[in-house]
Amino acid sequence: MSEAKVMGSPSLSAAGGSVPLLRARGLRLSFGFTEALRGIHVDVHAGEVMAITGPSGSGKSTLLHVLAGVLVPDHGTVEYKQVRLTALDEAGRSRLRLGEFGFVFQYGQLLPDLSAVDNVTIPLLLAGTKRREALRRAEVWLERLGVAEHSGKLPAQLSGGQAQRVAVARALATEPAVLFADEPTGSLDSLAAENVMLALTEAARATGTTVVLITHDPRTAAYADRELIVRDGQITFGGPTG
Amino acid sequence: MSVFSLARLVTAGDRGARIRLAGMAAGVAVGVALLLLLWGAYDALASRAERSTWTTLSAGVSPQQVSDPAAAAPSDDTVLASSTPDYFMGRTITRIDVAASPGSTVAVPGVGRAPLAGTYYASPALAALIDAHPADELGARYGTRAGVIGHAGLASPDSLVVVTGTAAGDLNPSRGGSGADESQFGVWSVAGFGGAAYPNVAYRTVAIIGAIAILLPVLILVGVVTRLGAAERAERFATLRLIGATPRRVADIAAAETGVTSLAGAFAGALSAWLLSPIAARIEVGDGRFFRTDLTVAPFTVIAVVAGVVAVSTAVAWWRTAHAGIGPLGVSREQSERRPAAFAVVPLIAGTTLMLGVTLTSVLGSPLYGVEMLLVLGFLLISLGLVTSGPVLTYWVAHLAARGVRGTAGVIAMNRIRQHPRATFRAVSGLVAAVFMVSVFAAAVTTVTAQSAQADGSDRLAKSTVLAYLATRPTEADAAITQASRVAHTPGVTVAAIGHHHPEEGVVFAASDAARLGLPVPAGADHVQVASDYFEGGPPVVSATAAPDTAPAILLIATDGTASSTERARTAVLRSGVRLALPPATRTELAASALQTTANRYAGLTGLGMLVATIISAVSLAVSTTAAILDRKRVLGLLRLTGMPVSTLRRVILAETALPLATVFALCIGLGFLAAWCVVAGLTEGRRTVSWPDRSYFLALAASLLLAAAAVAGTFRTAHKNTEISVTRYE
Amino acid sequence: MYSVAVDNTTALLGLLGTGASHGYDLKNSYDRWFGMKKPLAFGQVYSTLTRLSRNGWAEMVGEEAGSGPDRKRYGITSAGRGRVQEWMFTPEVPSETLQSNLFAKTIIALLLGDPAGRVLDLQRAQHTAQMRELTREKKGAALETVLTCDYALFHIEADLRWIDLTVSRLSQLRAAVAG
Repeated sequence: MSEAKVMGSPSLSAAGGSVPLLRARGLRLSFGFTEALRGIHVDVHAGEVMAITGPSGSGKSTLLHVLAGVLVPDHGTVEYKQVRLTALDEAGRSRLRLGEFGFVFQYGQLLPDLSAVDNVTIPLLLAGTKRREALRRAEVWLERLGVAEHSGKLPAQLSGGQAQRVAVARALATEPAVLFADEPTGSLDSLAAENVMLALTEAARATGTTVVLITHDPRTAAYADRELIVRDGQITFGGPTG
Repeated sequence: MSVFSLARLVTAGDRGARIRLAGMAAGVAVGVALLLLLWGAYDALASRAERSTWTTLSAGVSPQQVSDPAAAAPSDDTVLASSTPDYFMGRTITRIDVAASPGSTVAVPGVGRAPLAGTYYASPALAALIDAHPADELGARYGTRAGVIGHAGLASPDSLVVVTGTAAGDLNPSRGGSGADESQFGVWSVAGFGGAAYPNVAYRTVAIIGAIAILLPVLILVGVVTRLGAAERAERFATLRLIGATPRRVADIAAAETGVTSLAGAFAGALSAWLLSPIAARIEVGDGRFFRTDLTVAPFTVIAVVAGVVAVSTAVAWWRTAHAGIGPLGVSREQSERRPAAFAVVPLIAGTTLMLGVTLTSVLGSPLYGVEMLLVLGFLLISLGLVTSGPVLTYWVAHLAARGVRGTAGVIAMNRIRQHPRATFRAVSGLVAAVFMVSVFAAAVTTVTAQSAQADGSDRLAKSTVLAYLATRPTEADAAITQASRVAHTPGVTVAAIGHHHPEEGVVFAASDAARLGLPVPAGADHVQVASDYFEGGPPVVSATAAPDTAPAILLIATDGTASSTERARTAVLRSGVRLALPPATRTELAASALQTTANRYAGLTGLGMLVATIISAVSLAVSTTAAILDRKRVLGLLRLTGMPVSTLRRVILAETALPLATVFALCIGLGFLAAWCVVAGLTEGRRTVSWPDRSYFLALAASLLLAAAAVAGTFRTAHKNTEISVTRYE
Repeated sequence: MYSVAVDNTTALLGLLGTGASHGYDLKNSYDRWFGMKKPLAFGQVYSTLTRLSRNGWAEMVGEEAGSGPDRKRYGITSAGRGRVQEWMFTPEVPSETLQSNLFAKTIIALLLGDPAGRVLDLQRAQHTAQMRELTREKKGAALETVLTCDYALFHIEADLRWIDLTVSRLSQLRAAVAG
């Protein structure tokens, strides 16, 4: 039947095989009477770029926050490298986020008073890197993302695309194992979005960073290796079977 | 649609906006209440000084010093009076002896017609003291009580004042106080009693400076609270601009909103000031507690203060909104402040130069015309200069520090300060003003407490010994000895010995008296000379000398050491008829009274001023710090989401407060001392100076820093809550 | 785009799957759902039914007395059902005819009570796979290739948007079909 053909399509090719880097089972989470997640299973494999798409309000941001250990689900488990994230306390999860994960948001994540390069040094400094070394590495990352010439500018002096690339540089500067990107192109035009996504995926692939990408934009999702569709708090397509 | 209904529309229904307005109103209320209370206190100091200084006879109506009161009988429209201090159990009593004709028309404040000879009017506090102790300790000094002195003649409900009636011949023209108010000496003929609000122009200057000192922190508080939630408001105003409101219209709406809010706050503040005045009256300042009526500010002043606060805050809100550049799409990007210009330090330098220049010329003996006004001007310039130059200095220091910092918090904080030097300095400006003012007052007050009585020792004159310096005329020498022996029979008195003037220095005692007084008498001496220093608590320097042929100089009454015996001895001396040069007193009382000045009154207010200024500045600090975090709520929240620990957030807040404060802290203290020295030395042409303040100043500084730390710590919770993931998620 | 007809053979077969029917009723049913722009001719209905019967997907289930072509009732065979399922759950290659065909599949699925959402999701996966392919192709390619790919991407995206919107309206559509 047609099922066989679907399974063989590129959309699911990365799903099989090795132990997943991030493995979520049976996630349920409610905010008051709203059920944001209604029994979700997700596997994220090392090195892949995975897109999570779905209409707004579908629960995809909530899913990202649960996978990243920002939120704790009411039910279900999240395992990262076989460590049960859902069993850690807030401090433990904070440390894990700082050490293992990077984050890019839609907008407004750069400290307005800090120059681009200073913004990139923040996670490095938080991780205990010396200021001088942090500045050096931050410059390297800005170079890699193609915004080295803007390193001395304040966020207000950058275009939206440049600011997002600085944000990507900041997220990748600590060389995280997983990069979580929540609508990274949400406030950008097509070309700026393309530049950010190209830079992001290239940099991530070059360093072997796994990317979990939330977007409602199909062209942004097209930069991923595969796609999960979340609808009404459930994975309607692309998830593992159990 | 009117501006007011628009303003209401914009704020109604928005919970955040209502909280913001409530905070603004509360801040204004606190500011106005404190302002009115302190205004009242200053006013009260002046009016009670006016009430109590009628006892300074030289300030009366057509005062004339009288050298022979027996010959200058009082007419119906003049009285003869003498003002002397008296002591009881360590407290000072102001005693006015009045001789009036039977038909006298001169009114004594709080008494009315002068009391008849042998009777007295006492203040309520003194009357209570008299009633609580045996007559031979206190009451017998004054005669029969005729009544109680009313408010009009008293500084405070705690004042100890007695007005006694006496015959003109019994007034003693050689009597004086030992105080610094030289004019008290002797007997005066006055056609009326009158007080002065300020003993001289110097105190008036000090009072003006004190008023500025209080006004500044209050203004800063009002400025800070009316800025509350400016970012949120800008967003709402952007919406109005989008649907077609002109920038002017938006400014009008902001002004209306602030005007109505601060009016409500100011009314609440005026009401609380009125309600709190009985409590405030209980606080002892200088001469004691206030009468409640003293603290009640005149209705006109209240209206002026309320109107002024509302007008200023409304105008400032209008101006700020009109210049905030709110477009239809909002304040598109958070603008960095303009870099503060170096010329902002000019007022500071000018003020310092002016004060120093004026003072130096004054000290060097050629004071400029209008020293007082120039000093006030200089003081104003320094106060203003501290506030204007703070951002510049903060910017410079942050600029230097930004290169050196290592940690995350340091990088975030230093760059924040670099981009917003005014906003960050504004947060601590209240504290800066408070530290400056506190330093000025603490240093200025050292002029009155720089000396204190010498210590007690076994070979020193006992503190319980009463000294009565005599003004015995040669013809009265024998009578004095009789009177002294009468005193000696008072219960509790161990020795009552008369000493005579030595032709060169000191006092001559009979050897037997000296021995009984416990002085080391050289063997075989009939008479001994005792150096004057002994009577002020110095070591006994005793040498043999010839019998004196001079007048009696001193009556020394040693007691068994109990307070009752000392007071009985004093009462006995006062009743003995011996002609006194100074009131009978122990050496500590004499030392203390020598230091009594009007400045003490202001010293009392210092502590109060410190407290108020510090509380206000702590409130300003908490408000500003919270606002600074709320402005960056989203980005800090996202950083926390990525794993930044809350402790880093706390360190950011701390660093943003500590750097501007540390930058100007030492400067404030230094300038405060300098200003104090300039005022004190400049006004007295260098006769007085300042020294290191006592421990309470350092305690006050430490307390203000602690309070500031508490204010900052209080904002931690807000910061924590507002950067929580649940908050950030639904932005 | 609308001038291109729906794959009407399989669509008619699908309609037949809802129950045996006369040619006339079948035409009306087809016109209601898919014939807004271009109704089906009677002749076409009968020729299609003949072709379906020849393939063994449909069969005559009864003939009534009287004259005229409408005396025959047709029903679907089990082979015919298999054909409809295969058609429904095979995503289309993104093309210009896609919308009408996908629409037909969705309606048929709803009429047959099959998971219409799955039809759309399968199509979505086909589209996104193609978009990923095109995006990969763009990387490092010459500008004209990039522009060509962009053109294709935007068209596929338009389809995707239609799919997403239709998914959101499925319950509404299901009600309409049932009514």
